[in-house]
Amino acid sequence: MAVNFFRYVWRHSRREQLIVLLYVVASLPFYWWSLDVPKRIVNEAIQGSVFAHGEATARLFDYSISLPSFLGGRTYDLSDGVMLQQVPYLFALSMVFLVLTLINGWFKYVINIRKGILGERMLRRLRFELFALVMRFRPEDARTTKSAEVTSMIKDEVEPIGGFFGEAFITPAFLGTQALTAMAFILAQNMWLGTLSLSLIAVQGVVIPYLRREQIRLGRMRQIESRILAGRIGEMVEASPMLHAFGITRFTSSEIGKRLGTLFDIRLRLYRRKFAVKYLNNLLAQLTPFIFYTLGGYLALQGRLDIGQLVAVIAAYRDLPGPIKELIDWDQQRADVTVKYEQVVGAFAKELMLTPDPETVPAPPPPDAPITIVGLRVLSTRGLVQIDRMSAVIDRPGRVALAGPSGSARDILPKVLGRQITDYQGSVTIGGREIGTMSDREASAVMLYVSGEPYIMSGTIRDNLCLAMRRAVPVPEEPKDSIARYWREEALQTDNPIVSPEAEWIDYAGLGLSGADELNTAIIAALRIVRGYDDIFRVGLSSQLGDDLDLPVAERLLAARSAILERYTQLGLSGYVETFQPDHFNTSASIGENLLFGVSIGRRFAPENLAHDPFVRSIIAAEALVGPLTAIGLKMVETVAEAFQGLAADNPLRERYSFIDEAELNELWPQVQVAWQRGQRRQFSPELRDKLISYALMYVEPRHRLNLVDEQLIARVLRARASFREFLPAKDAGEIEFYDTARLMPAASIRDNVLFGRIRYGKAHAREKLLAAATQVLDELGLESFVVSKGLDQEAGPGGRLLSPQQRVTVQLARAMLRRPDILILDDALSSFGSTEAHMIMTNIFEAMAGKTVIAAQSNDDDLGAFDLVLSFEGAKLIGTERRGMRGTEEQRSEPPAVAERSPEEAVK
Amino acid sequence: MTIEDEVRSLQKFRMFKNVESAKLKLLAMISDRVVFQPDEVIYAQGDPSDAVYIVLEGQFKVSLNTANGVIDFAEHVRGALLGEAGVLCDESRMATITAETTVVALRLDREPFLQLLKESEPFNHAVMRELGRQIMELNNICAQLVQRLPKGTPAVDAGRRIGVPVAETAH
Repeated sequence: MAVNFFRYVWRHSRREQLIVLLYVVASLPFYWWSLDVPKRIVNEAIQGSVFAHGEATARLFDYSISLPSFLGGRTYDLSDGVMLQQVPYLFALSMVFLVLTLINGWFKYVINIRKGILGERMLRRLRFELFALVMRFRPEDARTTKSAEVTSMIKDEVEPIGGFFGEAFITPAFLGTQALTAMAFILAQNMWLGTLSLSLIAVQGVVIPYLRREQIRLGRMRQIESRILAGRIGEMVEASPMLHAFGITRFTSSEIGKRLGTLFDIRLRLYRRKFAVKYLNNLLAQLTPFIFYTLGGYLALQGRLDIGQLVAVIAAYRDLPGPIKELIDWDQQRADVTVKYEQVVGAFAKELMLTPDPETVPAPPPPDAPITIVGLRVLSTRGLVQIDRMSAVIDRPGRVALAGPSGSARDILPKVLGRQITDYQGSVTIGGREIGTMSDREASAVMLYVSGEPYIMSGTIRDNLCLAMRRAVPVPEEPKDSIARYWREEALQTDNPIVSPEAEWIDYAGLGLSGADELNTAIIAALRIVRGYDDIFRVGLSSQLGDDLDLPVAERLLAARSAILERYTQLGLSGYVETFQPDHFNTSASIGENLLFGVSIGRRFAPENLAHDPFVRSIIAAEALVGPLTAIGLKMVETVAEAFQGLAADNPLRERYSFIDEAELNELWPQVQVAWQRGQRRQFSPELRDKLISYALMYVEPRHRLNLVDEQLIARVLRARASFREFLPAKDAGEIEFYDTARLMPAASIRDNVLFGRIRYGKAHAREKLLAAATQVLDELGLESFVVSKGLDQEAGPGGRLLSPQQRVTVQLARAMLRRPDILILDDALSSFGSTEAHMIMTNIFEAMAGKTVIAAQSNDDDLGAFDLVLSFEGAKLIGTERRGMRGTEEQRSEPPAVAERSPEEAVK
Repeated sequence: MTIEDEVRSLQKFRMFKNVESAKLKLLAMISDRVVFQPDEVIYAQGDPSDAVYIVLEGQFKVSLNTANGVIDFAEHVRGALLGEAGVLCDESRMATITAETTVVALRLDREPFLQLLKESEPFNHAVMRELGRQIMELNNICAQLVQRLPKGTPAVDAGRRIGVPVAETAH
């Protein structure tokens, strides 16, 4: 990318610049003409100079061209014109003036638009080039780059450059010619005055830029400070959980305050200088007319200068300051923009960059070509030796363990193999190709590096999984309509990609899939390998059913309800679940849930708000439930007070009764005691009664076991259920979805829809058994992919924030398993899992990668029996190579040749 | 069965002799009442230790899966605490417990159990005493078994486990 701004602009927008220049040149004659016409209107038409000698009419629009003498000296008459009287003459000239003004306006419009479009195109090109450069940073450089700084540079710092792209060549051309013409005119009138004004302008042109140098320096400082500020703010926002945890937000605020203060100071100095220079500029500009009046007037009085000339010079000079000032401003802008441009381009130009993808990808290395490491030496940024002259040959296929203590070379070698460290000495080759200089395309076709850092982007889980497969390069297709054509044209003009992100980027062929339908199966298979399938399935079951269901899917879901119940009966599990039946009380659900008998949409009928809702209370009162419910609430409160006495309010043992708030209880306890003593329940205040009723509505007999639900209560609740449904006002119908055996509930989860009941208390491990059987039935009905889809549609959040750490790593591993690379490098990728889980995942990965190569960093304590080759490391040295034939037997154990020579750097260290 | 009934049952156990009834009530309130049918597995060898069971009624048998077959230790103890060793030592279940008759038990999840041990000193002592009692009984059984061994048999290694995980289907 060109470092010189003008060279960059010229190279990429030559054609457009010349076109606009032509427009500019074409507009000039009209401009002069429009300056000339008013003079003619005043002189000839109004003051009547052409009618001066008593003529009634005068000729207008007569044009003739006279050739200069060396071409013959002939005169051609183009038109004879018309004879007009004074008033029509006036009107004609005025019309001409109007037309000219319109033409000028039109020119201005076209020129400005073209300049603007030119600027925006160049800006798009510049931004894309910068982005492409960032994408080619080596991992070492990418690690030290702050994303907020890069964002600020690409988005904000280049914005003013965009405005200048159009002005770069055109403005000086335009204004320059204007100023030169006026200057020439003055010189033609009087040499002395001309030279005088020329010298004054020269002074302006020299002094002002010199004074502005300081401005440029300050501008550079401001740009850098601004960028750093953006970077720091980005970092602090990223780390805000840590800042809050340690309580150090005030410290960080003071740093931001200081940086803002520095920026303010720079700005202040900039302003002062800028306006000082402006003032000086204006002063110099006004000085010249002063000199003209005094000196020129003196000369005129002396008779050495014609008055007409003086007036003409002054008039011409009045035309000068405009263009000159604008030229000086242009120069200032040029200085600013050039500095900005150089800064930005300089920040993006790194010494070494990743090899760009070649046009034609070379053939991949043969599948059994070994990985050859010769004399590999890796130094950290501070010069510490991380790998000390290691040589080894890793045969493919195979399972390779890199064993050693944490922090030794076993952590560094995977990074070298996985192209995370490209700055090493020695050579690491596959099939003759050096790994450090492979392009992305080449390397990702052969190997994948997976670390504990999952790199999840915002989007759904499915998006994240499919991201790993979008490596096909779609053939750009013919644009279908004018809009598509327009997009393509623009992209071509600015060297942007011409394939839209919505095209088919998924590399089906490379994965051995025939199309999108097989993709789901592949995703499910990959999830099973990394043991993330259950998790996703569970997420899918818990996700809301939603309204937008295909009819066949909805029918199958309804069918699943009865099918699942049948299966439970077959398996003897029917005693584990209590389904919702319209005229039965569900003992495994709370009293409130039995009353409502539906799924609440929105907050109004949510469990915590149920008791306070006026409609619900009216139903309760109508069915004489107030007394019984209050009694239940009271009993619950008494039991809690007795049993949880002395326990802190946030003690986890209170979880079962967490809806009884300790603080509220303490307020109401005296009232309860008084009523207790008096044995009268009617003494309760309305708020106490409400509280007790709200507790009672959360009561579940088998869970709380206070023997408070009897036949009478059940009967009343069932009646209340019916009344609730019957008398619910139509306008509130949207707040609740009633349980209906023949209908699905979009607001409830898939699991609730399909189970349609509650799991009974009193059976251990009921949940797992029931869900396992339900999963099987769903599989048989072909609903598995539907549920898994729902699970995959869960949002991951930026950086995977909405997923648990294990889920994030699972997605990363599943991506790798989807691609099924020839070489899989695991750099501590399973560290977020417990040891048994990690072991099982590893076994699955080995199975899936049979016939391919897996290289994994392991600690010394791990069981290395499953690996074919074990490279042992101690510190930075390779201390042993064990090759095993079958698992468990050791065939060869070899020590590497003793390292005889020690390099001078090491001796110093 | 209500909390009150459960507390009365618990009070009859020797193990809970010194635990006040309020704490027993707390114990009952934070547990789930579970019922196991005859021949139903209460927990299996190798399962994660996620809960402790206090058996209120019924008989159960203990079995261990080894490389040489399944060893049964028939045991009939009421008021027995089941599964506390696995929870306290953070290990997976060492043996399989199967209900012989209908078993009614209180199931206490791991976290609440550990929390209750902190909250109630008598309960803590009760658990420790129960473990101690089990150790003494096992010592007795051990002595009787050693008596039956032929002379010259090598000593047994306490650190060596003969339990073999039952083959599991990976998912």
